[in-house]
Formats: sequence, C-alpha cells, structure tokens
Amino acid sequence: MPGTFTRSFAVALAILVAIGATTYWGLERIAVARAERRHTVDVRDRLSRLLRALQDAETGQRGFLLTGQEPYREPFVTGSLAARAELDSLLQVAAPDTDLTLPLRALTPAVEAKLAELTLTMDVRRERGAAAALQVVLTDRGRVLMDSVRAIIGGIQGVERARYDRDDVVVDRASRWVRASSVVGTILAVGFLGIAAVVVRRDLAARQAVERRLEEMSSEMNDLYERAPCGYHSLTPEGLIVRINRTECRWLGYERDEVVGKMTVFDLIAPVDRTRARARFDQLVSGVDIGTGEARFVRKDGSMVAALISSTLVRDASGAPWRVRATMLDQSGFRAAKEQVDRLNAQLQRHVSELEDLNRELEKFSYSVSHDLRSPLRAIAGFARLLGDEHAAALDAEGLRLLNVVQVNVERMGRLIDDLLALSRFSRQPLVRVPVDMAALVAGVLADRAAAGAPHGADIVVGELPPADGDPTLLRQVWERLIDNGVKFSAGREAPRVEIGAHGDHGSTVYTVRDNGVGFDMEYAEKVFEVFQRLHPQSDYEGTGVGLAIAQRVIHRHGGRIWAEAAPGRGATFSFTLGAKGGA
Amino acid sequence: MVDSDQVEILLVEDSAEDAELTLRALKKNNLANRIFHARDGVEALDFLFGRGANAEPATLRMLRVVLLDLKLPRVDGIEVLRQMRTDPRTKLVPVVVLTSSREDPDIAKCYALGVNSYIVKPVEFQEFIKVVSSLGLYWLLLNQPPQ
Repeated sequence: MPGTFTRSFAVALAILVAIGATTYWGLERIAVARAERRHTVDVRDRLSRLLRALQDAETGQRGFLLTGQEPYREPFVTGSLAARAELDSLLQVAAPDTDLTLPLRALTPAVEAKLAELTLTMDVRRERGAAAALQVVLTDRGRVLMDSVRAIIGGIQGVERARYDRDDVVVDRASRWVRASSVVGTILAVGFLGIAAVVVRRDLAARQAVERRLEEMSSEMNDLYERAPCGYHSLTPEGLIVRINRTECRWLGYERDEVVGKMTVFDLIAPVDRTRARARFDQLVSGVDIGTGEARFVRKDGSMVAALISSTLVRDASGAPWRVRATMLDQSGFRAAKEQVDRLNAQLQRHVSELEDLNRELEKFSYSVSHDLRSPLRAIAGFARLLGDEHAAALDAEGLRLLNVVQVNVERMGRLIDDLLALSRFSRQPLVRVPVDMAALVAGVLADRAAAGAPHGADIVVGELPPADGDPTLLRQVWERLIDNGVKFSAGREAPRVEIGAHGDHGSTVYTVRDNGVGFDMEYAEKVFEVFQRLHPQSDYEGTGVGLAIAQRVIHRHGGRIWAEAAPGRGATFSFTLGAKGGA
Repeated sequence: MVDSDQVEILLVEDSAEDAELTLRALKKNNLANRIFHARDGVEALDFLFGRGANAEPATLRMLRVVLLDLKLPRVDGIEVLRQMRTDPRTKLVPVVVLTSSREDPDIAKCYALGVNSYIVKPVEFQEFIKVVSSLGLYWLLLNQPPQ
C-alpha cells in the first residue's frame, strides 16, 4: 500500500529531522555553555594573575622596606605593571558580564589604593628611613587594602564559580537530551523505516509479479505476432516498413533487416498493382476505411505471391496518422484450390454437355424409332385389317387364323415400342419433387382401369397410403405398372386379389402391392426388373417385359428402392420406398 | 387432279400407306371426295401458293383443313406450317399436325407456330379410322371457318 509507505516514510523523516534539530539545539547549548565556561576560567585566571601581580608588588615593597636598596624594589615595579595590565584586560574581557559590573567597578579603585599605599610606604622609607616606614606598615592599612582587593576578587570568583556550575548543569542536560533523542528517535525512525521497507518490499514483489505477467504476455503476443499464419506489418504514413513479422518475411523471402526501415511496402508490391495500392493507401491515411483488398507481392527471388490485405490506420495522441497496420493473407493456396475447383468444374461441365449431347442423341433416336417403326407397323395393321374386312371371303379358316396371328403380333409390337419409348422418356424427363397424395394417385389409376372396362375380376383392396414427395406423373407410372402387374398375374386364380398398402420402416414409408397370383422363384427376383426379362411365357401372360423396368427406373430416379418378394404359386409382393428429398 | 378451288382437305403425307389408310378412313365417312394429297412439303407449298407444276394459284375458297405430317422429304412440315402462317392467304387455314410419335421434339415448335391441333397417329387401324374420321367430321362439318 503506497499510503502506508508514504506515511511511515514521512514519520521516519520527521523523526530524523527532529533528532537533527534536537542534536543541533543541544550541541549549540553545549557550545554556548563551553564558551561561557572558557570565559569564566579566563576571568578567574586573570583574577588570579592580578592577585599574584599585587602580591609580587607587595613582596617588592617589603624587600625595599627592609633593605632600602633599589634592586629589592624591582618586583614591585613589575608586579604593579602586571597588575595594571591584568586589570585593563580583565575589564575588557569581563565588560559584557552585567553580573560583574558592580564588583569590577570596585576593583580598580581597590587595586589603585593598594598600589598607592605600597608606593607611599616606599616613599616614606626612602625619605624617613625604615622606622618611619615600619610605623606606616604597622598602621595595618596595607593589609586592609589587600584584604579588600581579595574580597572583591573572591566575590567575582564566586559569581564565576556559580556560573560555571550552572553551565555544567546546562551541558549535562543538553547532553542527556541529545543522547536520549538520538537513541529514541533513531529507534523510532528505524521502526518506521522498517515499516516503509516492508511496504516497499511488498509493493515491489507485487510489481515484479505484474511485470513478470506483462513480460509473459508480451512474449506470448510477440510469439503470436511472429508465428501467426498471416503476415503482419506496420508502416509509417509514408509507407515505410517499421515492423514486420516472421511469417511475412518468410513469405517474401527477405530477412527482417533488409526490410525494416529500408523498404516501403510499395517496393514489395508488384508494379502492376502498385498504383492502385498507392491510391488505396493514401485513401486510408486520409481517413477512409478501405476494408480488405488484394495485391500481388514480389518475393526477393522475383516470384509473385497473391495476398489479401486488411489495413487499419493508427493515430497518435494528437489525432494525426501515425502508423498503418496491415494483415496479409497468402492467397496462393486459395488460388490454387480455386483453380482446381475451376478445372474440375470445367471438366464437370464438359461431362454434362457430353451427357446432354448423348441425351439429345437418344431423344433423336427415340423419335426416329418411334416414327420409323410405327409407320410400317401402322401400315401392316391397317392393311391386315382391310384384308380381314374386305377379303375375308377369299380366305379359308387357316388363312384367317394366320391373319389374326399377324394382327396380334403387330399390336404387341406397337405396345413394345410404346413401352420402350416410355422407359426412355421416364429416364430423361426432368424430375420434379412436390408433395404427392399417393392415395389419390392410386385411386386415379384404379378409376382409369375401371373406365377402360378391362375385365379382370380381381378384388382390389387399398389400404392407407401416406403422402410422399416426388414426381406425380412418374409415380403414377409406378402405380400403374405395379397394379397392372398384380392384376395380370392373379387373374388365373380362384379369388384373385390385389392388396395395395404402406407401412413405416426405419422412418421411411414402404409402399406395397401384393397379389395372390402365380408368384415366381426368388432366384429370379432381380430379373423381374430387367428390360425384356420375362419369368412367364408370353402365351400365358401378355406383357412387354418393360413395365417393371420402368417402375424401377422411376424409383431409382427418386433415390428410392424397389424389390420383390415371391414364391411360386403363392403370389408376389412388390415394395418400394422413395428416397429423401434431393435424390434424383 | 382435283380443282384446287374445290379442295376441302389438304393431306400432306409422304407415306403412301398412311395416305391410303387416311383416304379410306375419310371415304368411309363420305368426306374424301375433295381431298388433295401432297406427298411432300414442296408439293404442299406448290398447291397452296400455286407454284411450280401447279402454276395456277389456288384461291383456296373451300379449303377447310390441312392434315400435315411433320416428317416429310425435301421441305418438312414445320417449314410448310411456318410459310402458311406468314402468308395472309393461308394464315387462318386450320392445320392439324399428324405424327407417328408422341416423342416429337417439334410439338412445342408447332404450337408456337400456331397449329390448331396435334394428333398422334395410332398404330391400331380401328383407332386410326376413328381419329381420322372424327378429325374430318370436326373440321369439315362442325368447325366454323374464319371469315
């Protein structure tokens, strides 16, 4: 917490300042007291020297008084000179001391009085002899004067001593303060600094953790930047490359050092695209969003690489264009894939048109078969009929029978041609897929058959038929073929019966047509759907062998399945499903 | 040669057998007395517009219907139909296309050119007679011609 740190640090700093101030104050006090003490000692020394000088002067006076000889007077001369000098300097030194003003004022007269007394006694000795001088001495005046000087000096010394003692106390107290404040203050300051240090340490640890994360993220980002499967580059608003990732370098075949700060992006773009790229770039820098564009780049080896470029403009703090950042996608792979798709499409197109040609040919063939085979058939049928109608009298019974054989076969051939053409038509006719009402379809087929009046005598039972998706025209063909088939093969039975129904199976609907006719061996189950494959002699059951093939073709085109289940003499069941929507 | 002014039915048919059967069918219904039989497209156009051997231009006063086969030598039925529909004289003459095949890719073209009817010739003779007779009856007796 920066708050704790700041507070602790501030307190520690304050304490240190206080210690400093206290120490300074204490030392100042001590220094002052010392100076005072020195002064006191100085004053006391001078006082002592003054007294000694006076005593020297007295000693000289005594000597002279005793001997009367000049040399003994010498100590008096030096002593009185020294005393006066000491007195002068003392007065100077002690002048500021107001405490001493009074005693000092008394000192000078006292000293002068003493010196005058000494001089007087010596004058007496010199003029009136030793006895007279002794008489003067004995008056005790000299001793009294000396005592008064001593008393004054003693007073001053007392004052000085008291002051000395007082200063001592001051020094002691200041020293104690300084000691105490430095010890306590230091401990406190260290304590608070400790707290601050702990806080700083903790902050530092947190910060380091964040920095580590940042570093990790930055390295991750860098990794992503460098190894991305797309190229990245950053440009100045003039187009100079200032940053480029490894992927793009690799694509272009350049070392980073060859590009960064040395080449513009336009140097890398193929000359054919350069003008357009320049225009788009200028648009982007002027603030227009240009989205994604395509450009061809030239590799160092001169080959081309097609790329998809997405660029964004980055502005600086003042809003001026600062950088253009771009993402580049290599389109070569995409192009190659597209080319392959195009190639395959073209191939497919070729096959489709071949198929279309084939279909057209088949159509032409169908038409010509239809036309060219039917015309002579029509002629045979027509003229056989005319022969029968107009020349019957000229023919005997065998002749009429043979004529009948001709007519029956012509008719059969006509049906065969019709069926073949139907098979071809239902195979080619475009398939539509719409919802088909199967019940209505079956009802329609049965109504047609009833209207045609073909006597079949079969009992036809129709169950529930769910609707389906398919081509109604084609599905009707399926029902027609299967119902006709069932009716035809059950015709010879005692109680011919055809059941039409449906049931669900695995989510799809199975439609069935069951008859109780002659059936067939399952060995031939697949053959019934083949063109011209018949399982019964023509003489027993009329048929072209194409009907079930048509049904199968239609069902297959719907993506469905058709199959038969039967046993000889026990009827047959034809079933079919229709594929899901989208089958063709 | 039948006088073209009197012709009521123009039969354009290259197959002699089909033509004979058609004529017989019409005859059976007493409709065949004024029929002109053209054996290909050129003959049909010559008859209609009076060209070539039949230099006399037809007035087509009585022409009620043209029975037109599509697959013809030289000029085919489609072309005959096209020319008829572009000429003011034959523009309104009813045309029934007779063909052998339901598969004929020209059916759509015929309708686009303004054919009046389109009939597939049945193989079965009885059927054929029926179709031709009803055609003749319809166009000659029932249908009200333009003008």
